[in-house]
Order: sequence, then C-alpha cells, then structure tokens
Amino acid sequence: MDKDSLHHGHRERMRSRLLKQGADSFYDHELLEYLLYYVIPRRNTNEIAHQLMNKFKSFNGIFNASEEEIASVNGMGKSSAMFLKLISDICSDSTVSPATMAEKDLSKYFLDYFENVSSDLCLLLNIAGNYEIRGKISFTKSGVLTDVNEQRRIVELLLKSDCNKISLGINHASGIFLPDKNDLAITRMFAEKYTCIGINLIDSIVCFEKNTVSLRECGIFSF
Amino acid sequence: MANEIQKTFDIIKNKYQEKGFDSLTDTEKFTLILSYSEKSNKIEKVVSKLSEIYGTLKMAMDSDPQFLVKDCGTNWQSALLLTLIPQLKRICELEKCRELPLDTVENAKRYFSAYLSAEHVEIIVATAVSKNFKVIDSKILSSGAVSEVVLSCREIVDFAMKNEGAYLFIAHNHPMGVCTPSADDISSTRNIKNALDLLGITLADHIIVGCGGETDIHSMRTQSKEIIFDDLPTYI
Repeated sequence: MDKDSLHHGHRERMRSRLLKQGADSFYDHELLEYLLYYVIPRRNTNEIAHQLMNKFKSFNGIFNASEEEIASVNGMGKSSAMFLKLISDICSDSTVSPATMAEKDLSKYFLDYFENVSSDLCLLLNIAGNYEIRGKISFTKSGVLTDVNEQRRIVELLLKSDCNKISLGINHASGIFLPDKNDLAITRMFAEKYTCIGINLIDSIVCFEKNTVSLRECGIFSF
Repeated sequence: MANEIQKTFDIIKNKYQEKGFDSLTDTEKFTLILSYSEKSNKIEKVVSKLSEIYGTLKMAMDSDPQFLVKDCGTNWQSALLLTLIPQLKRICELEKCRELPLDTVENAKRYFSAYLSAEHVEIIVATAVSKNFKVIDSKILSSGAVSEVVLSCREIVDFAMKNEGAYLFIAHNHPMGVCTPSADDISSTRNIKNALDLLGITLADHIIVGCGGETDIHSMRTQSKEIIFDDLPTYI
C-alpha cells in the first residue's frame, strides 16, 4: 500500500471517528491534526500538531498566538496559520447565548435565536436540572417529520449527551404564529415517543416575528 | 469561471485579514469557511442553501453533520468542520477554567465542574496545588461504575508525595445523582485527611459534582459539618 493510500485511509478513519464519537473522544493534538487536514492536504499533520502543542501548550495558547508565531512552526505556513486564526475568531465570536435561564425565559431565548432566521427551523435544547443549557441541535421541521434517519440521529445525539429534559423551539418563517398541524406533530413526537427512553419535553414554543406560543401554556399537550 | 470564483475568495480573505471576522456578512463567513472544504464550483449553491435554512454561521454550527449534508448539500468535510467549531470553543472554555488558581471555593467548584460534569461514570480526581493555589498536576485516580468508586487513600497519598504540592484537593462526581455527600464520602474524606496529616499536607477541600449543572456542586470544607478541616485562611 503506498504512502498516499495510508494517509487517505488514516484521514478517513479520523473523519469517521469525529462523526461517530465527537471531539471529546480525541486528544487535543489529534483534533489539531484533524484541523490541519483542511490546509495541509498531503503531508502527515500529526507531527506538526505535536510541534504546535509543544510550543503553545493548549488550544488557547495557539489561538492567542500571532499568525507569524504559528507560521514559524515547522510544517506551517502563512495560509495554514491564517486558517487557525480564522477558527480562533469564530470560536471567540461574542454572540453568546445565556448558559442558564428561568423557565419563563424559554420563549425569549427562542425568539432571540430565531431573530435572523427565514426558514422553518427548529431548535432542540438539552436542559439540565436548573435550566442550564447543556446542548442544542438545530434541524428543519420537514426533515425530522419525514425522515426516520433524522429522527434516529436526534435520539442518538440526546442519548450520547445523557439528556433527560428537552425544550423545542419552532420558527415560522411565514404565515401566522399559531401552531399548525406540523408543529403539533413534531411536538407529539418529542412529548410522547421520547418519554419511553426517559427524555421529557418540558415545552414546545412556536415563534413568529416577535410573538411566541407555548404549547404547554395553551394546554394542547399535557407535558 | 474558476478564476472568477477564486477572485471572490481572495476578496473575502483580504477583507477578513484587513477588517476582521466581524466585518464579514453571514454569506461571506460561510463562503470563507467553506473555501477550505468544498469544491469551489459548489460553494455558491451550498452557501445559498445554508443561508436559506440556517441564516447565520452560528446556527448552522448548532446543527448536526448529517443534517447539513442532507438538507444543504455540503460535503462531509464541510459538515464536520462547521460542527467541530463549537466543540473547539467548549474545549477552549474548559482550558480557561483549568488555568484558574484554586484559591477560592468558587474557583475550585468551577475547576472541578469543568473537569467532571461531562463524565458519564464516577471519577475521582486528585489535584496538587502550590502555596498560591496554582495547579501543579491533576490526575484521575479512579473511574468506574456509576454506583460507587472506592476512594483509595494509598493512591491519593502516593500522588500527593510525588507532586510535592502545598495543598491537595480531591473531587469526584455523582453522574446520576445530586452532589450531597454519602456516608462513604464522609468517612473516606476523614481517612484521606488523616493519611495526608502524616505527610504534613493539608487537604484543602473535597468537591463533589452532581449531575444537575452549575449549582449542583458541594464543597465539604464549607458545606459539611461532619468533617473538621485544618485552618486554611488563604482559601476562602
């Protein structure tokens, strides 16, 4: 097997592992090695990742360094350094959602989230005991209603993150803010089917322009 | 056509380098990041779909790779890159927590919460700190089934001796329960304190991290009356 095939096979295995297990299953230098695949297509990036970690000690160390300092590491160059700076800039994006909220603020949270969205997007929040947001997944309403694979994938993600409480936000891009039959169908799916695996839906909130409807408050479902 | 596309990328890259990431529109942000992972003749179509469905880069990053590939036509490299970034952000935030000096109960709780709250099994951590409460070393001493893990005095003392720290913290998590110490937690802490006394090392605290989030953390020094810790006026 030639060297190119070996690299290709290794990169494919890393991609597959990232998809199935997420970044938590990687050592820091392995994640860095993976990131460098995007800018160093042919070379073995494992050694470069080790050198970066040895020099800067952590991801924060790398992201706080200048492009010139990063580019000076053996195997790095101007364009690969710029890529890492880009990742750093996106990571430090200041639009931060609140980490915790009171129950009544769920409506406000979803309204703020969907402010610039012009599609029927949904957002599922994984919520801990004191309304700390542990994770979120965004998806299209039509996708999750019609595609069993999407439904399965959501279950997979929630079980992997040890979730037992969720809240659903549904954006209406057009029309009115009252729930339609698809909103009810998607809420029923999360409220009824997921309880058998110990995941409880605490509310489903429909958003349209500056209005919200809580399906819990209007008594459509007994949550 | 390829020259036109490359020209667009170069304009966006120059704008990013000269004016910063915040100066880019959402479409430009998508285009810039996807220029590293998508075929150039597909980027415009994919960016259009991402903008239509998700609106902003931030929302697309909240999605799952499978949904991005299916709904927006991204390739797997792009989907993984977009969804990897929030995970990197979390890693950076955990790193910052781990650089805290543990000189207050609040900092100690933040540090061990960052360490343990995402774990699905029960884990014991020992952390040696200097006189200034800077972390010298942390080590996972034991991990096991959810129901219980034996707090091993011998391993903790061994770790403390090797690291020559001024003070020692221990912490463990209750991945399925709240942070209230059990009878075993209390008796184990007493044993560990007695063992460390033999070495002249002060047990700073025993932190227990429950599964309920930021407030579900217990400091045995300040919240448990059953154990009398040695005075440590610099730890507040």
